[in-house]
Amino acid sequence: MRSKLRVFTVVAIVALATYTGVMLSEHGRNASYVYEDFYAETNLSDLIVSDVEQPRSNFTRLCDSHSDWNCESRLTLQGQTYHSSTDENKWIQSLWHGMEHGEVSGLYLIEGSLTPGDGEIVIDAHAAEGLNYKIGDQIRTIAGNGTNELTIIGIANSPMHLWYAAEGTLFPSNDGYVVGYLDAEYLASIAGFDPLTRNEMHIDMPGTPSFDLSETLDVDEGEELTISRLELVDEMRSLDMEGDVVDRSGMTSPELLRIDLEGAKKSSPFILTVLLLVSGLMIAISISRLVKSHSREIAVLRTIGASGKDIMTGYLLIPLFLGIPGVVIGILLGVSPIGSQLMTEFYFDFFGIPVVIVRHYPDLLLKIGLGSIALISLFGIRPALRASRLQPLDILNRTSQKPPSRIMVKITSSLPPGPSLAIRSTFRNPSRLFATLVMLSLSMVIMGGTMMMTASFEELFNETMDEQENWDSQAYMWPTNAGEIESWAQQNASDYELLIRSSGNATDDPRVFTIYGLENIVSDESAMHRFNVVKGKIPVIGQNPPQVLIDEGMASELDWDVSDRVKISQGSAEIEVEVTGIVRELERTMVFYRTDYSSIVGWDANGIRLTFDEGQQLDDEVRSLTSVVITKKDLLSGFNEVLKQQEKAMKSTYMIGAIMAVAILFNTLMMNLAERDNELATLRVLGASIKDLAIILTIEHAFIGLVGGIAGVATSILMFQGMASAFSTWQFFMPVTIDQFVALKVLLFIFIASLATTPFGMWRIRKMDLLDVVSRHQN
Amino acid sequence: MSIVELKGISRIYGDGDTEVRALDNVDLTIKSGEIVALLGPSGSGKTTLLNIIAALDTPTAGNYSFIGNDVDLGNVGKMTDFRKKNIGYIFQFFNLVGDLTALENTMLVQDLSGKRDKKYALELLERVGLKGLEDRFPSQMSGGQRQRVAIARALSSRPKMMLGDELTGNLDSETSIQVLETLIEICRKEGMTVLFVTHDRSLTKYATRVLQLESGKIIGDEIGGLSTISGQVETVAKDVISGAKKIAGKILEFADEVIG
Ligand SMILES: Nc1ncnc2c1ncn2[C@@H]1O[C@H](COP(=O)(O)OP(=O)(O)OP(=O)(O)O)[C@@H](O)[C@H]1O
Ligand SMILES: [Mg+2]
Repeated sequence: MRSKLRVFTVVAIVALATYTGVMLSEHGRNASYVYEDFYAETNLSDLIVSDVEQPRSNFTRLCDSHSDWNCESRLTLQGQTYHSSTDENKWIQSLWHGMEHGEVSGLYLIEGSLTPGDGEIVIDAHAAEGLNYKIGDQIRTIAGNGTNELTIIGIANSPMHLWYAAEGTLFPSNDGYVVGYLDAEYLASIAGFDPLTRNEMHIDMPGTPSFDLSETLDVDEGEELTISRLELVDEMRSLDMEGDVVDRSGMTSPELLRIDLEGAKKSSPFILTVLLLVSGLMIAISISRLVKSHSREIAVLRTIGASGKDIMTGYLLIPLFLGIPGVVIGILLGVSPIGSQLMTEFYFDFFGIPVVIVRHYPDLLLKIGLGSIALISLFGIRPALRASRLQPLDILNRTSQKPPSRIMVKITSSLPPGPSLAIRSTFRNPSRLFATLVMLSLSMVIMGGTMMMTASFEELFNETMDEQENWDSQAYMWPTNAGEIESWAQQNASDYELLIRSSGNATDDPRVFTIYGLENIVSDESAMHRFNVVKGKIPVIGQNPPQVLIDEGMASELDWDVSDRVKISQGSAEIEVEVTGIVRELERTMVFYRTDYSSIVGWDANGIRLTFDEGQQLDDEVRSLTSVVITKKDLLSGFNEVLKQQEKAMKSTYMIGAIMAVAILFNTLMMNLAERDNELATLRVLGASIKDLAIILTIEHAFIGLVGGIAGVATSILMFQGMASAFSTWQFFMPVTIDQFVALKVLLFIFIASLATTPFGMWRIRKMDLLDVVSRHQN
Repeated sequence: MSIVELKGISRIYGDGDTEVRALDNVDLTIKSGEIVALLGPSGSGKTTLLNIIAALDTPTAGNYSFIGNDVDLGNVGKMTDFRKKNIGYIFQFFNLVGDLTALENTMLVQDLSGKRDKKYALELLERVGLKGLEDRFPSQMSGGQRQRVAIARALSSRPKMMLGDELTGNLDSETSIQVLETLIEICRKEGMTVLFVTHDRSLTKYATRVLQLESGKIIGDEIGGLSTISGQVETVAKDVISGAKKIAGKILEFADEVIG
């Protein structure tokens, strides 16, 4: 009964490991195919040229000498959509693509038609789902110049917006962002431009040239594409165009999805290995235990002439007996509907990505299966070797166990025999205790690491999106409209602050950051934004070179520090600035005083932050003057939505770690009982009540729980630090802040889980056959 | 005064064809202070009888009273309590706790019954002849020494009755004699009742009463060697000799001091 349970535990853990491994790796492969298929189907551009609005021909001439390129110019504008629902009416941040033929970076039709005419729009499927739009619905929109009523004629997905997050946020939000696809000429005219005005050109080159990944600065994965890109930039400069050319690494949605998938692909072998190590260790200690209990039989076999090799072979086979069923069950679960299919569907459902075909890959399954069995088998070698080296006399002469170590005796000699026994027996088998701690630590690598990661995410977002922000709404507009909006704000808002938002990059690094020019730079609540200064101090206004703040991520990625003087490029200009402080921000950010920055850009403001009193809000008049409006409430609700989803996904990761930890503790308990049932039964015969033994067991498990918990917290922290630096990219930098509450949670989890296994131990003790023990051989 | 009173005790294993009557309607009274040896062929029910008296096993039928009080052999908690209060048990295979020293093993049982008495534990270890070995672990002692620890352990909570199932079965004959002598000597001094199972007829000379069991029935109930005059003389003689040895030792020590 007892050994059956132990076999079950080991097989279950192996199965869990393989199942998770299959799920993660198949998901990784399926997901890459989904993206590849989708990008091929919609013909995602290889390069995008973007510049300020200007005649279409300025863009198309760039393709004149490249007959094999497929070029399509486009007009992309920020805007807003009016949405009324039963509980509220609001304007939602929007993005309009004015498209020509839709041959490059085209659309994937979900419903209706893909060829909008005047007064018609194709709506992104995410928004259609989140805001419940149907074909034929009318929506009121702003595209920079008054409102327009548009009829929805189609619902589609775009390769540019699979990661459906509005500009300025990383969070997908189906009901907080509208992307619409219109006819280019029509969009230009409703925005007040000449119909042939464009600001982008999408270029499709023959084949699928690889592109340079943004996080590998020292390696160029797509040399051919890089050359074309740089040539295009040169050509633009010679034609007096200031804009930019990006490859796929500069396109937000494809890049974020790629990074996300990359993370999943990188972590899956890691998670599989961790799980297998736990399984292997569990098997190793089970075999050691088996060898020990077989030692008499081994001695007899050796005495009658069995060779060490004969004995070893037997034990070497055990991992296979335990491993193969576990691996087979794991693989079967992995390819079952609750395996990789569930995972991939859940994942793509979350991102709202269509065309998901889940395939299974025999080569992958074979690799995981054989790899798992091979790894597990390694763990059988040591105990098998030890078994083969046992000498008959050693065993037959050793009628009793070794005494505890001197140090142990010293430490515990002043305790009463009960507790002293509990502690000594915990250390009776130090290598097993150590293995238990290692296994617990490994399981916490998964559970504690993700818990800390999630807590840190939450903390970072709460801080940067909520606590540091003291405005109610933010709006961006053409610099020429700033004056008009300011006078509106003087009348209609309780307070406001004009600002400049722009972007730039370090002169020797192409990665783009956001630049703010702010009225007030403070580290308290006296302005619209509170800076959390982690190093250095607030800049002083009007210095030469101008003083700025940079964010932690930028400091770390660009290796900039307080009091460094650094050069940045903005458009074609090069500026020197002095860094005075490093702050915590969600985006890569550089902060100037507005007056310092306006003398660089040559205009006063293109944004405003506002606070409102009861009853005040942005009206339609001011909205029509702005291009982007962000309300804090919407931002937070979108974020909370994402957080909820995120937590769901994380919970399954916690569960894996938690199940493992419980299985490990359970296995340890069973070993402990199996080894000591003679001793415990003796105590029962001598008059120890079940409660007396419960106390001894509880002390032991409290101790294992405490030490295991501490080890678990330590590895969780290490893991979290590793994860944070592995996950950190230019777009998303994860500062390492350890949440003590989570650390305590991890510790308590192991401690309580350890204690929670003792009732099972009591149940075993209750069932113990005392009569059997009084006449049994041992000790 | 009787300490153990068994009436109509039967213990039946299995049923139907496989039924085994390990004990068949046994009546037995043991008086306080008796040293009882239990003899009988293998499978005759000796262990079963001992285990019922120890409240480790529940009989199929019959009544058990201990010092006039009924023992509830159906209730695990009460059985444990009964053992703790009244019984000192010595195992054939010693069953010492390997992680505890001789002294700790001895005190463990005291702790269980909440009567911690280190002085008495040390005294017992001395009386079983283990002075100086108190801090040894079981693996560092010989079989005879281990069984002496087990005896000290069984005595340490001052039980009313000592039980031993082939407690010398795992020792050579010389050691068996020494160990049993030690046990009997202490129990007689303390006025404790003893029941021990043995295969070795020669050991009945340490008993005041010898019970013969066969097929679950008591078929013989004789006076043991200890209750004979010769037996008593032997013990007295032994006391004298050991007393003399002690005196001689003291004299030698004194002489050493004087000369040295
Ligand atoms: N758990 C059990 N299940 C079935 N039969 C049992 C069980 N325990 C003992 N018996 C039977 O009961 C009878 C008495 O057994 P017991 O152990 O009391 O004998 P014993 O006199 O102590 O023998 P030995 O000298 O060999 O130790 C035997 O026939 C034995 O086979
Ligand atoms: Mg027996």
